[in-house]
Amino acid sequence: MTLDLEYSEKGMQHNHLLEIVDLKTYFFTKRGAVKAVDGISFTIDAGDVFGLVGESGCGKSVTALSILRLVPDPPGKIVSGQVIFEGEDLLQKSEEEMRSIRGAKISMIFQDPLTSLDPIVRVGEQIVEAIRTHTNMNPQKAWEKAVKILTEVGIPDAEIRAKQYPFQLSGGMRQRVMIAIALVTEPRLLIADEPTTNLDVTIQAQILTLLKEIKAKTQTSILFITHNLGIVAWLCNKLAVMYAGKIVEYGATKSVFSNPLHPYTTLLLKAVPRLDIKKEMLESIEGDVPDLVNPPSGCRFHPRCPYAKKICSIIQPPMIEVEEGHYASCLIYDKEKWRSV
Amino acid sequence: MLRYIIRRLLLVIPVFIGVSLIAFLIMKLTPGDPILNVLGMQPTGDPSFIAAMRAELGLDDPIYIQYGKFLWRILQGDLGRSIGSNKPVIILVSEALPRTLLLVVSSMIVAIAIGIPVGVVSSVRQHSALDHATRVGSIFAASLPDFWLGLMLMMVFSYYLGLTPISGYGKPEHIILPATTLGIGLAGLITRLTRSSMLEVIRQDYIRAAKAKGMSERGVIFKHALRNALIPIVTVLGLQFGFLLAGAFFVEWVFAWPGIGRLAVQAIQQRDYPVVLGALLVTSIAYVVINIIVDIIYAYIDPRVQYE
Ligand SMILES: Nc1ncnc2c1ncn2[C@@H]1O[C@H](COP(=O)(O)OP(=O)(O)OP(=O)(O)O)[C@@H](O)[C@H]1O
Ligand code: SF4
Ligand SMILES: [Mg+2]
Repeated sequence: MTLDLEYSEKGMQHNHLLEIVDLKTYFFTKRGAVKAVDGISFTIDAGDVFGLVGESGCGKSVTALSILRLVPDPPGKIVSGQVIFEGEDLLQKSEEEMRSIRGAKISMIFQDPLTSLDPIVRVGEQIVEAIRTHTNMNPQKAWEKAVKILTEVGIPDAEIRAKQYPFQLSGGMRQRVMIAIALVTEPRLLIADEPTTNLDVTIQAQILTLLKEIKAKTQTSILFITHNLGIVAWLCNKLAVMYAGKIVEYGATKSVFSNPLHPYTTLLLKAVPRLDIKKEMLESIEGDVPDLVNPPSGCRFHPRCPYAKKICSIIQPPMIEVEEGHYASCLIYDKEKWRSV
Repeated sequence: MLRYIIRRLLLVIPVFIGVSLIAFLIMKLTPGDPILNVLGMQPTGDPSFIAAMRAELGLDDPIYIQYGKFLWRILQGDLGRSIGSNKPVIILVSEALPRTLLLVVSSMIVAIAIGIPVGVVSSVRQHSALDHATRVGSIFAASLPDFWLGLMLMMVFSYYLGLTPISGYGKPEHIILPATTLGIGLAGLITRLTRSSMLEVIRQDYIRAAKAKGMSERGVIFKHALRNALIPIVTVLGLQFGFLLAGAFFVEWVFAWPGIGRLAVQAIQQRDYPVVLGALLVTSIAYVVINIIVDIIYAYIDPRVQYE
């Protein structure tokens, strides 16, 4: 009994499926270090669908690639931090250990289904490959499993489709194939990097519905990356808002939507993106996306922030827990400093 | 697919007519008398004998008749007889062509066996010392003239080192130097092409996606990257086939390799029209057929290619 208690107490610390701690990933270019991800932390628990939102170039994809240690190197490097997955820091693992995690425990579907499938390999074969990379299942059985999962992700005539090449499939079907590849190994975590960006609206909705079904049916947690807060509200239970390589707000979806804390989030929410609007309003906030080689001093949002004071360009705001489990990095919530100026 | 092949094979007909016509006209327009060349006679030789020979060979007919007759005969599979040796041209040519194809295919194998592995390693280890050496070496190799390279190889490996026969045909080792001479330039080209094609493919999304499946670097390279990178390489190999055939003409001469090129050059020197025409015809037909084979290989590697 005591043992159990101890275990569960310790477990509280370890209960997170994924815990990212102060992760920094830079690209070392001729212009200087691009600080694409600059000290972010968040956690995903079993069963979470975690939304990572932010405008183009803020570092969402680099975050995802860092988790899988697939950042193109050179020029990219994970400079510091921890990526603790099921209690172990992935950044300390050997390349070989990482390979046994990629595609098995953590799968990823990419932004562009049109280019993420090998154009000259049958789609069924590409699923079989995902299975056989991690198990010794014989080719025949693996093929049957591939056909089965294709049916499960909603591809009609899966047996015929499995034998076809990507160019013979529509965009929506290809993304379903990508999802099938990612899920066939029953991963603990699925990273979906803007999986619907290049699809038309109806297909987009179908794919999102599929992801929601997957969430309901399987044990897989999802890290969902998007521009679109509308999708986040509909799909995710937690979210983090990223701005210029940093997380500026973080919390349960309900809290963030009902009580947005960070001025950037407020602006995003005013834009009310909808599923059926292709060009999201996210990109229409005034001002320029900051340069990640020489990011603005202090709060990175200060050149565009309607509330910015002088102090904002001097002090880097820390993450402040404003209400339980709901964080923002804005000096407004550091009452003393905010009033002192 | 079969229909496509048949349609492509029909292309042989215009090629055949065109080549025969052009070659025929060039031969006719070149100064010099074939009979005198063959017989090694002075123009003062027995005029009645020469006239009889001209008549027998049909050299007195109007040119278009000569061409028409010629075409009709080849359509029946008769390429005539060599003016020099009096042997049927079809026999000379069908002995020589396989030797040339053997040489060309061997040189392609040399080029592929060097070019693809070196290109792959060079691309995977981009910016390494090896990569730089490869880039310089491949440009150098591609710019060496066949003729000069052949003589150099012959001098070093046959004359000084005595490792290979100087020239000739018959034993397996006879093919080493000519195939190398002919293949080195293409090897340089294939190396550079493989390297650039691999570099292009490696940054594609599907390569990253394959890595995200947990595949090893080796698996990703062989199962995905190389196969995709091969597509442009096969195209170029097909296009290069014609250049190799042309190159074989020199190389066969240098190494006394009794192929179609050597046969043709000898025939040109002797104005042995039937042999020249026969050699050109089979060479062009071989060219068309090889291109069809390349297309089929292409379709095999790239399923997006559709034949209808
Ligand atoms: N290979 C690279 N070399 C140099 N800089 C890079 C590289 N990849 C990404 N970056 C930089 O990292 C930053 C973050 O890129 P990232 O792809 O993560 O953006 P994102 O948030 O996913 O944007 P999007 O919504 O457009 O996909 C960008 O400023 C980008 O210029
Ligand atoms: S810290 Fe200042 S500039 Fe930054 S978001 Fe808050 S108010 Fe705006
Ligand atoms: Mg992205």
